[in-house]
Amino acid sequence: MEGFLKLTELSHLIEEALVPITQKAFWVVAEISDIKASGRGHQYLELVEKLDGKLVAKQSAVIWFNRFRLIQSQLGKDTRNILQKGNKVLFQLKLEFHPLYGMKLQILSVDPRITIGELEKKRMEIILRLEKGGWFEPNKAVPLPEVIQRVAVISSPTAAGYEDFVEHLFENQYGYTVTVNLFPAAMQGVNLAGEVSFQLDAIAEREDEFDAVVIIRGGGSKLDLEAFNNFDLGVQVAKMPLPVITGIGHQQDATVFDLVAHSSVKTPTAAADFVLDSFLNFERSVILAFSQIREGAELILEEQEQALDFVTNQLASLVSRRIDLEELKLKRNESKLDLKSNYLLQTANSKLDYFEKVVAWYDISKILKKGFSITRKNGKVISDASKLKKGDQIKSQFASGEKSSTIN
Amino acid sequence: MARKKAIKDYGSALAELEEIVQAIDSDEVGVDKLAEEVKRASDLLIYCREKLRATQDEVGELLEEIED
Repeated sequence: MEGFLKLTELSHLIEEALVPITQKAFWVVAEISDIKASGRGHQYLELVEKLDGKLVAKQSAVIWFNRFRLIQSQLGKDTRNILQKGNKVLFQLKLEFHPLYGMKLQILSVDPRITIGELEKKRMEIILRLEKGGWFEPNKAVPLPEVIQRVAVISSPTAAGYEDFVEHLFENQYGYTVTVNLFPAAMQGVNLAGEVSFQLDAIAEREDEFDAVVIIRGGGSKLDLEAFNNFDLGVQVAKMPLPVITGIGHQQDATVFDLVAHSSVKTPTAAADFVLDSFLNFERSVILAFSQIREGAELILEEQEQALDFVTNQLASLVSRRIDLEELKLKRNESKLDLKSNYLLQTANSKLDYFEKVVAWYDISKILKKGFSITRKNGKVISDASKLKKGDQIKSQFASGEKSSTIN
Repeated sequence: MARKKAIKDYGSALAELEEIVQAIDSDEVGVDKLAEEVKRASDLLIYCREKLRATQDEVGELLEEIED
């Protein structure tokens, strides 16, 4: 039998062999396949590398609690977002070999840029896939009811966003009433996709009870919103039978959610305003319709009154004109009549006078020729001799000529 | 001119009224008929004015109701 080693001796050999490496700190890119916290606050991770979906490398890693505190102060609120299962992260680490605990990677610090880049890449990929699949259109084509009275809200009940939304909605100055049903779900982290998906299904089943779905959360870091960049979730939203309105507090880039939803606003308060605006617009159009009706009715009545006034005046003036015309006709006829009849009478009278004279003259001639004469005193015919006194001047008319004489 | 004794409604009354005025204007109405036609026109006018007044009142009430 050759010489054999004790385990500790082997460990020491390994330890020594590793010395050159264990002194260095390496920057390593790896995917977090698991991360757990211990009671004392140390973080235990499992790091992997995949090729074509298959595992090709795996290592255990640890972040000791005081290191973790430093990393937390560096990454701030995004710590949990970066150090999340499924993310590729750039770590600075060093190798540790302990005879008892074996080899471990001790993580010293984290450079978030790779992770952010990866997530951004993932986001763009998902957006492209959804766009190609035409998933941006369907929910936008779902008609938004004129007034959004019944709202199904997906949000976290503890989130500030939900409280803001409800407060703004219920304390509106117009007195509009909106019914709100909360379907609670996590608004960040690994559980978001599953819980939101569950609630979307629940709402879709009760689609007749609601007018729209509102998904809201208060502000957060950009990475907080990464959980919304999920392809399957995006498709589910696109397929919703009710219009989906998102108010998830994004600052610059829209998330996948915003792009597939019917409408997207910036904040929960804006989402409340969106709902209230539907009431406002409706009320405005009703008020407008009413004033148009009233104006229309008043106009018609006014026009008719004017028409009647016009006809009345027209009638009055026409009739009086007509009557004046007739009167004129009558007057003309009257005066014509007057003139004509006078003329006729005159002419007749003259004719009669003339004839009278002629006849009279003809009679007298015959008698005078017989030897009679006509005796006149002062132009008057005397037929009574006793009317003549001595000295009277008389004129005697013979058949031809006259002679004057005196009575003696 | 068609002489319907009963006045049916505002529309036909107004139409008949305008007919009469037109006839008088174009001297179609002789002196014999003038008084008769004017009487008819006057009846029509009174009917129209009353109808209009009644409508104004009713519409005014309805509009007030809606506003409340």
